[in-house]
Amino acid sequence: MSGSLPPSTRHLLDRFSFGVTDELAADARARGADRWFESQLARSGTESLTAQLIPLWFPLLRNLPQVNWATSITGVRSAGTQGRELVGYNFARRIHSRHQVYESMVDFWSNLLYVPIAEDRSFPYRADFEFTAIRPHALGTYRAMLKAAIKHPAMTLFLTNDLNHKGGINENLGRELLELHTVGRRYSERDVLNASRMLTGYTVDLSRDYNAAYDANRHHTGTIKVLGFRHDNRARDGRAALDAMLDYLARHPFTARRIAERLCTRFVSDDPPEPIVQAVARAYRSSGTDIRATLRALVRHPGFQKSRGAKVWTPGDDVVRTARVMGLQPQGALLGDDAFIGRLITTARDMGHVPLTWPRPDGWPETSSDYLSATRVLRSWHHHYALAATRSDLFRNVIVARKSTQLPTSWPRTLSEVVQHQSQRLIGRPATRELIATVASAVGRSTSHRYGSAAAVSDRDYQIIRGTVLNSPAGFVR
Amino acid sequence: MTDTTSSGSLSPVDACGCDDYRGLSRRGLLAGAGAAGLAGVTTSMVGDVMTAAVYGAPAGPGANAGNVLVVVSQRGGVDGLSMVVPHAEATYYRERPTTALRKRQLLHADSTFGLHPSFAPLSRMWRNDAFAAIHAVGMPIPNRSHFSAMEEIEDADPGSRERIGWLNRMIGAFATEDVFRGVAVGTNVVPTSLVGPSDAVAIASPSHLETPFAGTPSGTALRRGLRAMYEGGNHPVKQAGMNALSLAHRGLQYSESAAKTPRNGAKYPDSGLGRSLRDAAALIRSGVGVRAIAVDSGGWDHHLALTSSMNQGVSDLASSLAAFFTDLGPVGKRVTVVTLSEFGRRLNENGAAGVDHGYGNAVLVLGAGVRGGRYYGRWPGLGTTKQVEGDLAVTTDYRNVMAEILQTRFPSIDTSAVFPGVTYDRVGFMRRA
Repeated sequence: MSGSLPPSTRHLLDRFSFGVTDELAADARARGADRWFESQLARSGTESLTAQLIPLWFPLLRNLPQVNWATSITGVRSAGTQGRELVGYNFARRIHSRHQVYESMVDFWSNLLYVPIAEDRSFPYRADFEFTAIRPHALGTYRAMLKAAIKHPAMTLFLTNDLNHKGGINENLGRELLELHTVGRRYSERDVLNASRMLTGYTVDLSRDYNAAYDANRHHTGTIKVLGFRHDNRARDGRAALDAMLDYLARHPFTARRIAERLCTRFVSDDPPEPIVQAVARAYRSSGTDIRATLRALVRHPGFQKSRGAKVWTPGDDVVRTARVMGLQPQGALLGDDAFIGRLITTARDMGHVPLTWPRPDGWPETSSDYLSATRVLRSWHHHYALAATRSDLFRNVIVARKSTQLPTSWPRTLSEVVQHQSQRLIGRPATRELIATVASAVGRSTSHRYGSAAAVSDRDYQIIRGTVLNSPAGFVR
Repeated sequence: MTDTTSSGSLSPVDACGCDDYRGLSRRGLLAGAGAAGLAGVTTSMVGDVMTAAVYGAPAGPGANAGNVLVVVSQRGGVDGLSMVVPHAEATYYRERPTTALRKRQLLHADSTFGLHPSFAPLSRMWRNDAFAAIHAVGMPIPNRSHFSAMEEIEDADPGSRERIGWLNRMIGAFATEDVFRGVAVGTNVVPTSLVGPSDAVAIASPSHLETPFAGTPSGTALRRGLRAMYEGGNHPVKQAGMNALSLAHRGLQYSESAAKTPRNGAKYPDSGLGRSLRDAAALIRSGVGVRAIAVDSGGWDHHLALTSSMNQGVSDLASSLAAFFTDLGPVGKRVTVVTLSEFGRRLNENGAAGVDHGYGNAVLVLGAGVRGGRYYGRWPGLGTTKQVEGDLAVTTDYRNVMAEILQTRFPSIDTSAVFPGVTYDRVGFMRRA
């Protein structure tokens, strides 16, 4: 039962998973927190069968970029459809994958080395960007991920590096590389110009077939200086020189600081304490940008455990978390927008937040309190009840857990006890007096009402008990 | 994603792969646009203390006297040259051999311009000087990407890294804050123009403001219970919950108003825009104190079949706006409508009898304060040397147009704070405050 975890383990799971299921809790309990985290970093253990099937639910995501372009201009499969499939793929993985830390990091890095879905120029390459630049490196080194991402045609197109050549420098990617992807706003305009010069040579043939290439004739040669980096850059093919510059930037102390701040803002608190940021930055630098070493430093620092309950579930994470803890298991995406996964995306959108849809290069805000508008809260309240039900219009192509598997096993139980049980199970926290009283008045029973069995808890009571637990203030924090 | 408010989808093929820009459903992708509202906690809303009594007065205190601005976003990039046709330009007819409109087809033509014939439902407003058009309007620098042009035009603060829309800065300029100051109707996603630190809401339907199980005994008990759980304490989640309860409470005014049939025999077309403007009229009449309303109109991405897409689009726009002002009746004397689109279209036709992404555009203004019945703007001409990369040039910064409306209808607002860096230059289409 997911309720009986030590609070420190529960906290680790709340932050580094998309919702604590029975299976996840059992795994963490069996291994202990430290070994569980290590197994997650190693991605050891086979995936569930359902998780292995997910690529088959979205077969077109592996289309060649040229095909994605062609199908969009002929109206067969629009840029928007392609983008929604990628979000659906990620939602499905977050729900089903046993590698929860890995999926969390894929989301984190996708929001830092950010290329939105359905963007006018880059969309044919967007899925490939995730599969070749982000996923292979999400628990590897930042150096390797940075190189893969910056040189990928999706990034080239989104930040117009294809328009950047020695005869006409376009600083779009060069500036964001410094400001967003590495050192932060600690560069000079000279640095931007030089970084941009180093980035010249990449092309994508937008007018014809979307083929990506490197054209040495477009590469600017001559000495490049960026912060403390210096390179002769004499070769016509500048890719080796670019790698050296990216390697330098990835290891730079300013980059360490920026990555550490962002990691701590995501996984610790909206305004993380200085000591933990410094510890994480140190681990990042001394490990040569190793992501696993960096994450270990984060979770082992005392500041991590002190941050319990300090983060809010963003809408995009909330819809996935709710599906997981309510025991809802999508079985495919064949119905598109009408399949359960598609409905989760729509719901997240209605709450104002779908991953990969922020329109600017800086990615969604990592400060979770930004996601607490009044309308978001209202819609979350409705959504939590919708997913707490035993049946719903939303439930298409999804296995709904049987009531008896979610409720206590020994009976009779009072209403108070059932609410207490569900609160521990769903949010890992005890039910407050107000929560129990709210449930009681909403179902029209006293708190001492006795249920004789799981079957005696009506579908309506079941929905209200579970939905109200998530709708309490504690149901919004992680 | 499904969308209950899809508007006229016109044709399946789209040369830029941006077919999602045709209907409102594209909004979903740009949900980003809406972001999270990034809403701060408004101190002015505490529990149910805010009631109709506070906000009910149609003419609020101060110089702005309850005035309302409605911004209709023509998503996709409307062809201004077909809305407001430069019939005296030989180049227009040469570049658009199959899609140009003849002078005799146009409404209210003067020596330079005439309106698309489907604007007929608004002819009375034009004749009553309540409807004007401004041509060659746009951003100072061309941007032909839907994605970033829309972001740029709605943010309207070039160079700033903060993501704050101009309507959000507008509602933030009032002396007190209130969540109902700025509302996007017909969508649950706050558009870029309304994103920012001042609380604003997007309301797809008035019923979306209800608390769960509203109208049932459980719902009543639940609302009380939610209050008990959320009240007290400074935790941002608790404050957000109290804001949500307060929003729901005040939303009753809106939903009651929206439940009534339109007044004065107004007949809205059955379209996304028609439904949104019907809700907007109800919102204005409800007395919740709305000042800025953002409404989306989709279907303006004319990569092919310009003629039919303009006929349908302008017809929907004109009949929706005509119904809106009929419905509002005397309340309409407080309401100004302006249209805005991310860019105009290319001057020459493409191979599919459509027009690709362009630059300069036409803007329409209707209602309170408008000196209508005529065309404004400095016409740059369409000669080869006057074009900007094959597009109509821009001679009036769109922010100047918006600033003129704000200066005349909301004189208490400092427009330089809403549009940083813009030196306001009077165009003249609004009566002076």
